[in-house]
Amino acid sequence: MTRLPVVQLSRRQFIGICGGAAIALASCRPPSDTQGAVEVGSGAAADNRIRMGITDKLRTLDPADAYEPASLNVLLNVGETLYTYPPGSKDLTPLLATDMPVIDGEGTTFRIPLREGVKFHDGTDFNAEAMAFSLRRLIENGGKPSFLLADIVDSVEATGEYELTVKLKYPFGGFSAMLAFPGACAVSPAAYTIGSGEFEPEKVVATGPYRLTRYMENVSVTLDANPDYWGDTPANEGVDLQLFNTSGTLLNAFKTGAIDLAFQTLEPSQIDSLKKESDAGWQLVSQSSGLIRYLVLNVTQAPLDRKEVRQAIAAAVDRAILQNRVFLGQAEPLYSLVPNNLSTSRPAFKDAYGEGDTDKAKELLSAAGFSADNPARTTLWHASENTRGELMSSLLKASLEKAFEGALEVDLQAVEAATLFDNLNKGTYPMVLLSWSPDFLDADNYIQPFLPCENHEDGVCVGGETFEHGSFFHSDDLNQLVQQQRTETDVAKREQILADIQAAVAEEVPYIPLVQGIDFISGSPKVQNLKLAGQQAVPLWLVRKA
Amino acid sequence: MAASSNSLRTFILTRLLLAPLQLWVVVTLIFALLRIVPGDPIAVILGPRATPAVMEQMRQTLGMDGSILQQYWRYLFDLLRLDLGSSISTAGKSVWDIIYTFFPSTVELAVSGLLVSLAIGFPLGILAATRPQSSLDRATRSFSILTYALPMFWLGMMLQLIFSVQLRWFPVGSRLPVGVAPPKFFTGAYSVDALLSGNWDVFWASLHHLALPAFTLGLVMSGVFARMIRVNLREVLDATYITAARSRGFGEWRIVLIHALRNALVPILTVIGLALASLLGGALLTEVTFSWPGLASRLVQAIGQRDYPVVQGLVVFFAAIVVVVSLGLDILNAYIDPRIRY
Repeated sequence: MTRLPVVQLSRRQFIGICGGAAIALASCRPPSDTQGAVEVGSGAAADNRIRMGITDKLRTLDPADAYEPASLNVLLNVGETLYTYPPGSKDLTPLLATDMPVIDGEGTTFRIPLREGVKFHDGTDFNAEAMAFSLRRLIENGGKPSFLLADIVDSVEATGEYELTVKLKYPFGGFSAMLAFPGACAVSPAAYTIGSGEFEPEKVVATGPYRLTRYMENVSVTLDANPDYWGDTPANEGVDLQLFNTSGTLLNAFKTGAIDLAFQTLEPSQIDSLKKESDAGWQLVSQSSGLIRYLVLNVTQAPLDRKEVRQAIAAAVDRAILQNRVFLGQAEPLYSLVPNNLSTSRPAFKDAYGEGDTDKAKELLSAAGFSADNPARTTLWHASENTRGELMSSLLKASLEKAFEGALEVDLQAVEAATLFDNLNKGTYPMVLLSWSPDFLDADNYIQPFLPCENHEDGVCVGGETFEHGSFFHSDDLNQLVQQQRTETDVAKREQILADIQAAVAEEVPYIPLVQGIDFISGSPKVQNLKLAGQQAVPLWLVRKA
Repeated sequence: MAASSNSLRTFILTRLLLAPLQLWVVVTLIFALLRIVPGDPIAVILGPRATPAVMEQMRQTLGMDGSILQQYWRYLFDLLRLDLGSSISTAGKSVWDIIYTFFPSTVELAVSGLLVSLAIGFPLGILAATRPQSSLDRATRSFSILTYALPMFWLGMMLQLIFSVQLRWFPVGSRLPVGVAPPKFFTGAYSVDALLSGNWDVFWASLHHLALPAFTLGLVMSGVFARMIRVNLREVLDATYITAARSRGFGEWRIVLIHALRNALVPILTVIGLALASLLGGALLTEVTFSWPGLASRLVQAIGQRDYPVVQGLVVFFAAIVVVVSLGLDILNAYIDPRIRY
């Protein structure tokens, strides 16, 4: 066998190899992320900029089309609405409005006084015409959130230089809260147009504390402090928002100091690991989220067509096990469709069935004629790409079957989310696990999208929200109550109506509320004044570097 | 000679005529498969609370009204005009915009990964071929099998944990440090653009970010190249003309690199070409692990959103690349090897 001789390198080969090795070594130097040697943001110094990472995708930044939490979070920081919930507060407060609206006797005309001296990022003056333009654009361009206002707003007019008048099709008590939806922010009429499908997915020209400097789809968003902002200047010079593909990469980027803040979404186990690393000084700020997880029960399919069976399942649900095993304590038990962080929430299911009352559950199932010898059989569906949904379903099945000692058998099925939603109103699913994030923080947003049934045949809903959800529940009384809570402008009376609705849902059980989310944001020891705002958002203008 | 030239011309002509046919089959399959998949894309995009009027309006705007056959003809006609359509999830974005935005980063990663795989695979393959049955040869064969069998996402995560999280030598992901502005656009590949614009800080930063994903991709592919080079080179080294060269007293390196390797490279060139074509569409797991904003991960996002035009457009684009690359390789091989003919 021939052996190769020792290699003799020419000078040119030697220089080439040395050059290659130098490039390889140079690429191994410490990350530039912490060096600030390269241009950061739009040229500002790197040390007072906030670097935040997320995994949620930004589909669009156009306020008239944005509907996902990540996009709305950007809009909360770049845009301003007429009303808002200040960080840590449940009270609706004027922002671009100067006062709460003056509502006429019928409850359909809202006169809103507007702030003077506000400019859009492009230098255009903000006034009532601009605000009317922004709301009309939200309605008429037909984007994802357009239905919010389109369903109830009759007209939007500038009735003065700084007075906006909105006329509703019918009285609606939650309208002011709806105006806090980040997509209802003021946008510059000089930068946008009104027309179906006329969207600008990569720009935002609004009035907020930050200006959008650069947007790179699926990569990053660069925000710089708005020098002409009418309010308090942001506590930092800007924000660099980086989009990651996986929560693992997000966590690693956070732990290695590449980013200062990690937001939606770290997995519960990852948040738990940060909690345990107390020496590292990680900050974890949490707040009840508006996101709720619930079961839909198809009232047309046996055995769920029997009210006692639905009530039995509601009584047997063990929320604590979901809270602790799926979410590792990072969720709250939910006893009503209206979440705990709204003052109008009532623990209706707890009042009606207690907490995991298996005796009562067995009694109800027995009353419906089911036993271990004659078990009730049903199927629980969830979206296959949702790992939490899979865990929740497995635990629900196990806990229900254990509670009923053979009198209830639950089969588990999963299907891709797009197919799941496509088949909801076809009556395919006896029980299905879903979640809901609010558009605005008012009980109506947990009632109206769930309970009304506009058309029914023999007591089975064939048109309306219970139909769309796949519950098919119909009740004239409940329909009436839902409409009343929308039109009632007296706060105390509306609260009573909402309490009655929640009690009725617990009695009829077309849905079973399970858990309510808790939002977490993780901050490095370098940042201060980290807070969360009402709707899965971070008021970044408050955050500063130590 | 003339007969051989005519035969080559016929071969090239036949391949050129077959290429559009191959593309048409892919286009038709993708069109049909996307419509068989359950789930209304308009309902997914607009959400369950969209009114029927709004849904119908969007259906018309996007040309998704009418029968499937009408939609199909419309799509083929648009394709002939190189119009790949517009995204339905991100209103206002054309498929070409998406390709323009994401394809350069995919090319940058795929080419870098290929270079890494060649840098590892070639020397290993050559050394193994020149020392058959030695411990180095056995180690190279084991390495080839091991790297080929390694799940790419697992390898990526491990490398990330070791070199990014523990040792802090490399960043965990993305193309540039957070907040760093990309260089002036020339090609879309940051390392090349930074070099062309003389922005050295960004050049080093982009190389630094590219290193780990490229190494992950390259390491997995390197085993294939090492094995192919070993097998082909070994075969050539046993040929009589190599024995003749040795008997003339040529140096062993000269025999291996000049006389043997050139002949062993013909089948390897085909593999390199196809590997690059498949890497352009198949670097998905690396892109996901390292948050590399490439076209493959954008395609997966579009699939989840039921964004038909984007899925169709990107798959057709990838298919066109594979068809063009394989066409080029076939012609090149036929040119080099006269035995390859129809």
